[in-house]
Amino acid sequence: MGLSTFHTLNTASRGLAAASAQIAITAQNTANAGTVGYTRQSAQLQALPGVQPTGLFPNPTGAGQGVEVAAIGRSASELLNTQVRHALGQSGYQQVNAEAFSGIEDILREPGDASVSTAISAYHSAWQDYANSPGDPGAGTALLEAAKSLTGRVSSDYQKLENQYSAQEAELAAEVNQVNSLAEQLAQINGTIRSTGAAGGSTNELLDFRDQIAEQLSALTGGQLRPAADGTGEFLVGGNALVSGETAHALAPGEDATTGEPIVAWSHRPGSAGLDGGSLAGRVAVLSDAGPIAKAMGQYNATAQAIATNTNAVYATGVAADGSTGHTFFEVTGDPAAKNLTIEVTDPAAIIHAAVGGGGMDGSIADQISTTGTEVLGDWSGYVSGVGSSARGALDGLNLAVGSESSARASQQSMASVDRDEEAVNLVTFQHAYQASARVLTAVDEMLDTLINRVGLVGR
Amino acid sequence: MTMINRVTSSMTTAATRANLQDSAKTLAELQNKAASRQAISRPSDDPAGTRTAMAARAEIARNTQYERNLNNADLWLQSADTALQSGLDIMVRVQELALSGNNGTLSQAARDASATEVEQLRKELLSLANTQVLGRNVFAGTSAADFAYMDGAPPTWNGSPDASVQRRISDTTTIQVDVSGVDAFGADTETSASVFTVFSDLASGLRTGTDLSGSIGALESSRQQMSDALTASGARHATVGRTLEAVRTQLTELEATRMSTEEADLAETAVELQMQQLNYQAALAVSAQALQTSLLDYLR
Repeated sequence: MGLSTFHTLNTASRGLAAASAQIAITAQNTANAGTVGYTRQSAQLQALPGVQPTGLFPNPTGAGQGVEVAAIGRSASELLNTQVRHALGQSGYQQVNAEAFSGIEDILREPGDASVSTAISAYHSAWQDYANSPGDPGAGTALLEAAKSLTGRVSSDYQKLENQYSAQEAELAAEVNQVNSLAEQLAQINGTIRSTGAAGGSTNELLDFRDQIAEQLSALTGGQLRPAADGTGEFLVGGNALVSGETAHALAPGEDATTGEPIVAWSHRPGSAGLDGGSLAGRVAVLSDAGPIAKAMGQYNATAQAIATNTNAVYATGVAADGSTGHTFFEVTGDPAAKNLTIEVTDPAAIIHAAVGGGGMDGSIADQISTTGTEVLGDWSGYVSGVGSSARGALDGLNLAVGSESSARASQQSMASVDRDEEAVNLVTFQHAYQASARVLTAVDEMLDTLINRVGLVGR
Repeated sequence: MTMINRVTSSMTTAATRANLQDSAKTLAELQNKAASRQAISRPSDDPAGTRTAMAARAEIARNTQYERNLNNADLWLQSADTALQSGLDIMVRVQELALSGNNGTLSQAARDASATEVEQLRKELLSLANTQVLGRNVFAGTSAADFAYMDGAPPTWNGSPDASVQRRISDTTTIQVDVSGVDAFGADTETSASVFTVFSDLASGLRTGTDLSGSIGALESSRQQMSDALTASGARHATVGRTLEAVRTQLTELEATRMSTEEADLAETAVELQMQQLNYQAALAVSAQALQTSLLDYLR
């Protein structure tokens, strides 16, 4: 007993079905060639074995029963995806760091005419001019203006630093909200993946979506996705689960219990989230007491304080018109010093210039004050050049991180992205496979025609 | 870089986009550099250069101030020089009058005329001693008095005996720009007489016909004193001139340092810009070619 005549018809029909499934997947790939996060798919075909011989007189095994689509595969590599997420965490951190330094450089405007160092030089020059024309209201007015422009520059720069600090705090809060909403989405998608998978559906597009959310979370928190066998993903931040199955935990901006520095904490339990990287860790570092903004504020305060102290130390030894000594030129009226440096003298003709016993037109006190700026200026330019080096380092770090991000991304895309030429070749192949199966169908049809319509016509 | 086994059209597109972006960014940076001519527009452009530029700027500010101070000092010392020079001319004339009045051949009328001239010259010298520069007395030190000398017999000096007028000419040095009235014209003490008193004594000697040899001796020592004061202020004046020269040279050098650190070399930037423009055009051309090719073009 041979194979059933209709066996081959079935085989051909299975071939047709497989080819058209492959064409459908090619269509899906081509349609999504430009979709961000899409991972190319392919039909995994499996040959069907022949019918198991049974009965009393089993025949030798016949041809197989054709082909079936066993699964629709997804060309994703967990290793490459992990590398991309890791690189995203790094570059997220570096981006924030580099931006913070760049912001401080914008405020410093060094070297330049509208900078603190220029204002300090101008202030001391004005004392020199006043020493040349002691008691002259013109020179005195110029001196008061130079002093005002210095205190104004210092306090307005400091205000900008404070604005930058609060902008970073606002950014931090916004990003924490973003993390929380992404975590919710990931938990939700986990649920959908689980139920779709259990019902036997294809979860490929859902997994793409899952990976997309995980990448955003990694860029923010430096955390990692740990995929489970059923396609759901656990997202870990600092070793603890932000998302586990269908449960999402929340982060919240907080303060360190001992230092009071800003941190990102867990909402559901005490303690810092211990971020490994990402832009949130960058912001926490920028906002810390050792961060660039706090350091800049410290430098501005120290400079303001030093100018006041240096000027006043000499100024107090000078003698006023009424013969009194111990006067002050500047006063630091509160904290922070940079914003509270005020000029005590209002009358330009009453600025003290003479030493005790120096004569009415003595300018030696004014001259002495004019020489007190060198150290302050030296400290300042040392600080500025330090900021320059740190900013340079931050930029180099960012370039490095962006470089490794794009290289990780290239490897990932090499695996996952759709190639139009490849799909065109596949399309031709599948089209031919379809045509060939159709030809088999025609052949069987002709065979049957011969058998049924042409056989046994003798004598009719 | 990980080995890439498979290159897809989307990767080609992404790489092309990134390359063009890089090229355009470099071009924009160069254009900015060429337009602003700033090699350092922020400290991170060149942290060490920033320090150099800031130090140069601070020193330029200080030296510009010293240049101003020196110009002011020059004005003061010029006034003192002129006054003392005219004073010495007066001394010479008075010495002539004293000598001719003392040789006994002169009539009393002529001696009276000489006495009148001496008194006139005394007034002139007193007004020279009250020389002012920019409203300040040149011969009164740091005193705030209106005049260095108030006329009288003898005239009173209002100057400050212990404090002189100083101008800062470097980070560490100042220079005296006034001349003390006591140094130039002498003081009236038990042992000495000011030049004004010497003149008065001479005039009365001429009128009364007494022996003038005492006055002649006193005149010579007054002339010597004035001449010494002129030599001292002249030496300081020369120092001021030399320092001014040096400060100006230094300013030119500092400005050159600042410019070479802070500012972009125009020729170099122009060449770089030209090259980068070519690079960008090449990148555009290559991209256009690379993105055109597709298998679909060759399929029926």
